[in-house]
Amino acid sequence: KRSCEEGPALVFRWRLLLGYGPSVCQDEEDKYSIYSNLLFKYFLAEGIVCGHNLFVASAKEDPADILKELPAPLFDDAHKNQVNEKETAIKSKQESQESMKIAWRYQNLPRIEVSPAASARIGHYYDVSKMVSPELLQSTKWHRFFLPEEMSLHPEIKTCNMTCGYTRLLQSIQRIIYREGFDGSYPQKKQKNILRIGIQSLGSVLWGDDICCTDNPEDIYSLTKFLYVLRGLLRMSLSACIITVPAHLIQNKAIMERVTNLSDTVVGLESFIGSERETNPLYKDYQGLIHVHKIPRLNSLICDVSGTKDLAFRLKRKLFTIERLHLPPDLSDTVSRSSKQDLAESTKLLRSGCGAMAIGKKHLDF
Amino acid sequence: MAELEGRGRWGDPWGEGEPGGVRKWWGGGARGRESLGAGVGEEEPGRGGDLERRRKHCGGLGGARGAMGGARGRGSQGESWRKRRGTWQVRGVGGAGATLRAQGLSPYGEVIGRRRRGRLVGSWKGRGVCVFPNGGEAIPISPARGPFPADTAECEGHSLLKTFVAASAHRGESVHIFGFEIPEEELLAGFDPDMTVRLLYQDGFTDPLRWTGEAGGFGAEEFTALGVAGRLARGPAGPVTVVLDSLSWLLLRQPLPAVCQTLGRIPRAAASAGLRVTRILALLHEDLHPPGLVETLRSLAQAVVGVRPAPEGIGSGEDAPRLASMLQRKGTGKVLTKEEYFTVLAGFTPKALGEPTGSVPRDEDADPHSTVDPTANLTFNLRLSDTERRARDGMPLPFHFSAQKKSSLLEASTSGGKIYYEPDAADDLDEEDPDDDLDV
Repeated sequence: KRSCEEGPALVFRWRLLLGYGPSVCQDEEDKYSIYSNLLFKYFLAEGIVCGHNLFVASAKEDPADILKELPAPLFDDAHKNQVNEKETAIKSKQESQESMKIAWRYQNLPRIEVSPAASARIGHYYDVSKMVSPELLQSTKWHRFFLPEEMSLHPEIKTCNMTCGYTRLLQSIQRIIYREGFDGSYPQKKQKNILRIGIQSLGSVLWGDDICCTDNPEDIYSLTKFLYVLRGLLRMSLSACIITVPAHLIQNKAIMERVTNLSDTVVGLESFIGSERETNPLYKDYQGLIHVHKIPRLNSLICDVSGTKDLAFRLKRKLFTIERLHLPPDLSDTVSRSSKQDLAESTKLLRSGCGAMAIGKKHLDF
Repeated sequence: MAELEGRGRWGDPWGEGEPGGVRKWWGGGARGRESLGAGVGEEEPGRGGDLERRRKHCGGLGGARGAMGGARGRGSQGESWRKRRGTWQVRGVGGAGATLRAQGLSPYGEVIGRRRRGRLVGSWKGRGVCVFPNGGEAIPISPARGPFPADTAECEGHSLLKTFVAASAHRGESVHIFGFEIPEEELLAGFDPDMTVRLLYQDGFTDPLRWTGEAGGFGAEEFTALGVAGRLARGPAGPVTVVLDSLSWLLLRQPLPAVCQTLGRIPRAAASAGLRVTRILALLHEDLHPPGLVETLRSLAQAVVGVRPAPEGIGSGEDAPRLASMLQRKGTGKVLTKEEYFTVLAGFTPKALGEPTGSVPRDEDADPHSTVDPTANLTFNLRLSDTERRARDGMPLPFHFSAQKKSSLLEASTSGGKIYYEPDAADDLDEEDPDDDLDV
């Protein structure tokens, strides 16, 4: 379910997508692209709940399968009440806390809210453990683009100095936009709707692009050209787009820089699976980190900057949440934090000054 | 070309058919046994005839298979299987097989027990193997569809690949081997005759450039979804395993995107021809490719087994043990990684030799039981009695402020700053000339 505790990054994205329409936002995939797929599905599920039209493009999975696996929305208010209760419980606990005697200067400091967006909820909630119901799916109008299928369906399309998968995708999107009346430049008679476009793993080899395997791809501008044209299409139409990109595979880092530049919102995911951080007690509550690389500034000279950029996400059984990353209080009985040998390196460095004496000396020695 | 043909470069340094003791393949310990189900634990070494033992053992496997399979019954399936397995086992391994049976474990135990659907690529130092999963998007894999036999990938290349081939053939699938690096005789050497019936060799070795124009050859340019599906259609119907030996050879002749797209489309193309491709196994020689390419392949594969030589002192001398690092993607979005030593026995039976003990010895500090109370064994008193503690708490500390003073300090001053100034005796202020002190 879309977390009630959404981090600022997603809130911004949501606001942007819902409010302004045309936008490109980009997820850099985590190493095994588990969580990026999850975000991808959240985006599409939100479209279903809001009654938007969907356009799903993939070179790997059949779009129909992707849609079937979307998380189920929670419509009832039961959960919200639950969340509210939890919040009030936390608050009252905070207030009842006795005043600080010694560290009194911290008394009036604002408490760090782990879940910054708890009060301003946007969008809907979803249950990751359940799939969206077929009825809901049927009531949604959606379009598919499955590259292998497309290649055999329209073999006549010429490729104009861009990787041919990209060309076909662009033509397909353009066709939908014009045919279904998402084209904002011509006033449409019928009810206006929003087209949500989701493109999975853009830039992977399955699209026919070789930026993932060599430093000097045959056509280094293929992907950026595609994004440029796509951006133009989106700006002219009532649509929003999410793209996941396997950034860790792209060999030439300049490409990623350009892609970032061409997008409105860029969010990177770093999952702990397989990395040494997985076993690090500092991160034991989380499944990965979220890096906000770019936040859109539309109609403004400056952008809204969130309070902290240290965001982490966790996936509970039903809930995907994004939280501020903070050090947990050390409540152990041991003399100091330094007794935990494998905390993050940074904390090791920090404490090496003051903690050095405490390490290793178990007895007070005079 | 020349360096690719023959086994020179990647020849099997270990030879085939290593003799050796026994244990079980992959997964060691609890998991392996669990997945084998009923068979485990029934066996007691040294009891009953060999035949009896074998039957029990196979029954156990059949049971495990049934349990995994869900939809499939264990009855008739188990029977036929039992038989095949029995035959195979008797022939394959002498002493080793017996030991395995005594343990109630099949040489293929883990392979069969694990549900691995994916695809995968693996490799290490020139010898690696990949298993491409069920062929990606094409074949809808519903969880209700019976057992998905484990895929595994190979090690030092070919011998590990052959264990997977053997496992596939044992499941009754026809195995199409697209061989580019090893001639048919060499590839099929060591397999039982009843198993080789299921192995179909597509010859890409004899005439890779199609110079002789003989029918039956398979050139690199023929490696397209339709070309492969056409070859598969010539074989018997039923589930099919596609083996590529090796992917490296193909990657040297076709660009990576084309190869990957073809791999993704093979199952669809085969499905339209009425065949079900259960998995694609591919061998990759990792050291022949740039790391980026290998990473890309790993990201597409459902399971990857990288193979490295094991350090000295693992396993018995003649085993030629290797270290397999496995990466497996589960349908639920989980990723499992594991490292294990293994060796390949005669008859292409993998045998696990345990996991590396790579864990760093923990500092004794980390052990909560070893923490020492610093206030113990001192020549003076560091403890407080209750009365002493109360007295201490009652003592106002020098930095304690009254509540009023504290709140005045804590509250943001809204009234602006004030300046209090008490003139010094030396101060000589002249109201009429405020700049008197300036040295102008």
